[in-house]
Amino acid sequence: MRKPIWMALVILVAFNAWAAEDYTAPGVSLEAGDPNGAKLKPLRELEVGDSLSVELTGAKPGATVEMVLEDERGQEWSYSRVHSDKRGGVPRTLFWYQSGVIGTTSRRIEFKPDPSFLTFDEAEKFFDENSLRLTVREVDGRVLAIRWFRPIRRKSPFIYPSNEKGILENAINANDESLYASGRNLPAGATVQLYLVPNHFGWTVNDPFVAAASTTITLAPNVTSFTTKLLASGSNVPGAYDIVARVNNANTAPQILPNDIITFGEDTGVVVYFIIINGNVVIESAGRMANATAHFEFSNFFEKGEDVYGAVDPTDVPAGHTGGSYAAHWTVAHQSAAYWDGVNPPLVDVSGDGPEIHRVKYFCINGTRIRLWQAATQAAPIAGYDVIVDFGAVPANDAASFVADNTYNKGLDFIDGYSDVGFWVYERPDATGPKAVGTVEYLDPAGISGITDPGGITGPTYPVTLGWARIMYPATVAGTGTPVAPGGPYPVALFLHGRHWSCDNDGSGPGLSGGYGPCAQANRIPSHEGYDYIMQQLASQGVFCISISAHDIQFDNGVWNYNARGRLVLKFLDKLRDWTNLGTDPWGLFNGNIDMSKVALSGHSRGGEGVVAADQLNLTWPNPHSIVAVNAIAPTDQDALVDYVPSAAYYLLIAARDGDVSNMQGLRTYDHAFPQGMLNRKAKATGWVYGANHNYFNTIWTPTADLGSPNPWAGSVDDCSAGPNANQPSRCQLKMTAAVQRQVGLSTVTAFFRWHLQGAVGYREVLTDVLEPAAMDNANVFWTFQDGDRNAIDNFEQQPLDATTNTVLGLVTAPGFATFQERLLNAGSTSYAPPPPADSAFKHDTLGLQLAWAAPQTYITNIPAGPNRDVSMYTHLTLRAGKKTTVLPMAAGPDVVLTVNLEDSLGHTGVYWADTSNYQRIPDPFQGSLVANLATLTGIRIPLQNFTKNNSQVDLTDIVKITIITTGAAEIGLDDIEFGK
Amino acid sequence: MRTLIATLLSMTIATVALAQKETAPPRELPVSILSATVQTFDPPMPSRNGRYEQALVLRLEAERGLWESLPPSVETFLYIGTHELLPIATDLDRDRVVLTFHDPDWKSLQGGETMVLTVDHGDPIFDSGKYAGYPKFDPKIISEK
Repeated sequence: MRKPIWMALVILVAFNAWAAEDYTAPGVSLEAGDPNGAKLKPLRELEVGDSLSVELTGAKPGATVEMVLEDERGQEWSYSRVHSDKRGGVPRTLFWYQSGVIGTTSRRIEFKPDPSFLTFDEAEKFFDENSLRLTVREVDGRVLAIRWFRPIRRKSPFIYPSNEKGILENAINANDESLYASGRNLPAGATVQLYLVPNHFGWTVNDPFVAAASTTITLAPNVTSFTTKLLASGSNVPGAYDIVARVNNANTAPQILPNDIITFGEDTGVVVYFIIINGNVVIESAGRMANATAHFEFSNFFEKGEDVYGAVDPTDVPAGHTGGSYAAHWTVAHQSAAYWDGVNPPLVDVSGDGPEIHRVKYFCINGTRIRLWQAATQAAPIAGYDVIVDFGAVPANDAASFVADNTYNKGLDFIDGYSDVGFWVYERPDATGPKAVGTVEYLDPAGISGITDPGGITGPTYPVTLGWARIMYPATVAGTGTPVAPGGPYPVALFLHGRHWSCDNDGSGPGLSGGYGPCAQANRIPSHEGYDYIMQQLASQGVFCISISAHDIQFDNGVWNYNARGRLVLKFLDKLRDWTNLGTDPWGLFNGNIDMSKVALSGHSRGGEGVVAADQLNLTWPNPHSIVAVNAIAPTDQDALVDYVPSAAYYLLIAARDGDVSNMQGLRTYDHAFPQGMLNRKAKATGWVYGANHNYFNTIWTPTADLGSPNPWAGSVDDCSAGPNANQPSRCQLKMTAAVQRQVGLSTVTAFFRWHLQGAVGYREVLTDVLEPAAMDNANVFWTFQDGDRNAIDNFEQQPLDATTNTVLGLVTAPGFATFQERLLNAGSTSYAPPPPADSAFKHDTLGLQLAWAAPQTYITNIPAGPNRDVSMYTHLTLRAGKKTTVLPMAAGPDVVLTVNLEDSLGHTGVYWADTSNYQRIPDPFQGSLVANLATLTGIRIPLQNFTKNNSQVDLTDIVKITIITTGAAEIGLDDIEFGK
Repeated sequence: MRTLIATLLSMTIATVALAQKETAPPRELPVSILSATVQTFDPPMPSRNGRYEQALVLRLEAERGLWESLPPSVETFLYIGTHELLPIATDLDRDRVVLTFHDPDWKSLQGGETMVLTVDHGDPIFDSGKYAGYPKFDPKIISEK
């Protein structure tokens, strides 16, 4: 009898609480308010225009939690359903936007929320008289919290994207709409800088940004609001953006300042959208849930084991689309554009649970969100997929009405993919693989012979006898000398260190004094052990790894030492071949277990030039080896005989803060590799790393403090040790940590090697900068990638220098530029003889173009009639560009941004100008280098799809000109305007 | 006479180089000229720009300790005017190092060219004004071999 009374009382209390007052259940805490500022704006301060987010603790673990926003009449304004975590917490969930003001759009939207407002004025009038009730409850009925609130008339400054009438518009068509920004409640007469910046989920002070557009407006003395154009129609900057407003502050620094107004923080400010028609409706669909419950973000990359979600942004639905509001999401293996252009190609879902039928047209993207693939994975290390939004045989407006047709219907169904991969599922290239790792040490004082003068001419004979190496291999169990794992033979990765002190006076004792040999074995510094961190991961993935010592060569500084290093590499490869073919290895382990048909080389510093020499010497080596990939890390380029990789794919990893090879001479090895006209060219790539030094790619060369564990070996220093000076206030100061630097080496070298040794071709996209490994500091790595299959329209290599004629003998025009001339981009040690006039700001060795402009100018390079006009066999327009500055003392400067377009013989041009910043930055020279104003080329790869989408009618078989329009004022070096893959 | 000129030139190079020395690792190396001879090579010597049969062979001596304190990876290049010479050989003794350079284009040297041994490759060419006070090349030190 007592129980019903208690229950009635509880219900009564709960009802009263629900009916009139704020209420919080025991043990529950709730924070609600606008999340778009630096800190959460609480409900009592909420102003019209603000959004609402909720987070709480104290729910039942794993409970379904509903959030409902209603007015006094019981009308529902917003609803969200989330799940609490294992501790009963619900992270911040954004679920009501801009106080119910939905503004306007030029798109046809099938669903319009009711109630909602068109303008902020309407909202203010409504909330003058009405309050809202936020109810948070568990789905079984337990009320967790109730809050009553009323957004007040806005008094604080407010900036929002709008149309020209000042009505909120948070999605515009980049093709034919201009974006305006409107402001309210600003100080009278204020000066407002406006920046359109790529959307971030939450901003903090000092976050850098690269503005896609900007403008400054000064209000009249008594005026406190404005509407101004921020982005003109026809701009080529599709994407999601926020607006940063800086009021009465002349500082133009491209970073968030403390009083900047951000529209919006956790919510997207504005979407500038495009639709590729071209017969196909190409959208972004695949994505993931971010670290807030209701936050969905598009993504093209998912590590194995991640859940892949799909969603349809309402702005991506074409006007007049005839499909229903429900569709099936198919996750299919990536197919070529030709496949999708076929007649109703069939669909085969690979996600394991078939296609998901779900709502795809809704006013909010979150209403279309659905999990497509739980714990996505596949056997291959990396694979590509497309998402098809299939509208079925008849329009369906609920799931029950959907009638499957299991085919892709071009123009009706949506596709996330088409010519590009929709999304990738990959394991980290540096992931620990399924194999245990065995280790053996090779040490034979007479293990090597024959490193002599290669030509038998006049060079010195190298007294190299010491055979010393560390070997890591796939094993049945981890340990020393354990059996090789079944599944071989395994491809080979060979590592070669560079020049470094060879002897430590007390060996592995505590002293750190040393020098160059000779010395006893116990005193020899094991530089070759410094790459264990890469070998360990590769070996676990099924790669036979060996790192060899060049101890006997270390003392030397002469012209033949690179040759000797190259021969040492080949000698060891000979040895491995004997081990696997003849079973002559000292441990009796490797007979038949080493796959000598796939060999990759990695060399560091002089070892980098040594592996380049090895690939060159291999051409005439008796019984040559099958070297398929060469990686040079911070290499030298001092060999008087050999200067480029002749046959293997090449990856140059080079550090901008290098205090040893501080003149960046390694860049020249990239420039010289695979020139135009060479047969059987391979891909080449450069990763140019801001903040990385010379030594820290090798753990033996990293001092204890930066390594994070004891290193007893002499010579371990931060090679960029010079302090700031008057011209370089940041010299050597902008330091990447050793661990982060090693991760760059680990992620990229493993990707490069697994691409070439294991056929995991998807890892190529790490080097194209399409796939950014989550573990890596991608923001500080600038990529250049040139495929072996490419054709130069202008590589500027023709002499005498003539900027007005390109490589294919087309006319080049550049009126209005302050500088427009070809130069050797080089600061010494050129391979051009005799050297033409040079620009020594660049540390490359290539002929390029100097361009300088004080105001935006137009550069056009024409393609004469002939085969060069057909670029349809390529996928990308590529070029290399580097910013040059001569200003001292060095100070932070903006990136250079170029806009690019193609034109065919009928005058068709891409609807959108390609903005280079969307593909790769052309950054300000790194300020932390030992050398001031280190101008360096980085690569821009623009998909040709960019120029053909939206029915541009651009004919890729008949391209007649490439146009580049500069922005701002700057000086650059330009090279290798090419079509490639 | 040649010996006297070479000795005076060597002392000047050493003095100027030491005057440039900073607390940071050195960028230049003070040296003495041991010999400057024109040699003929049979077969010709290879290089990136083809082979050469004859060259001015310069042998320079430096203190080993200073040489070892240079950045480990970047080689010291000898600049004679705009001629950039890479070390052909490095011979180590107990406390000294002997560096050998070849200049196949030695006939174009007129005399008076600035001589610098540095790890700052290209600097004496592109910023020659910085080296105005450095010793000059004197063809009289060359002997036929």
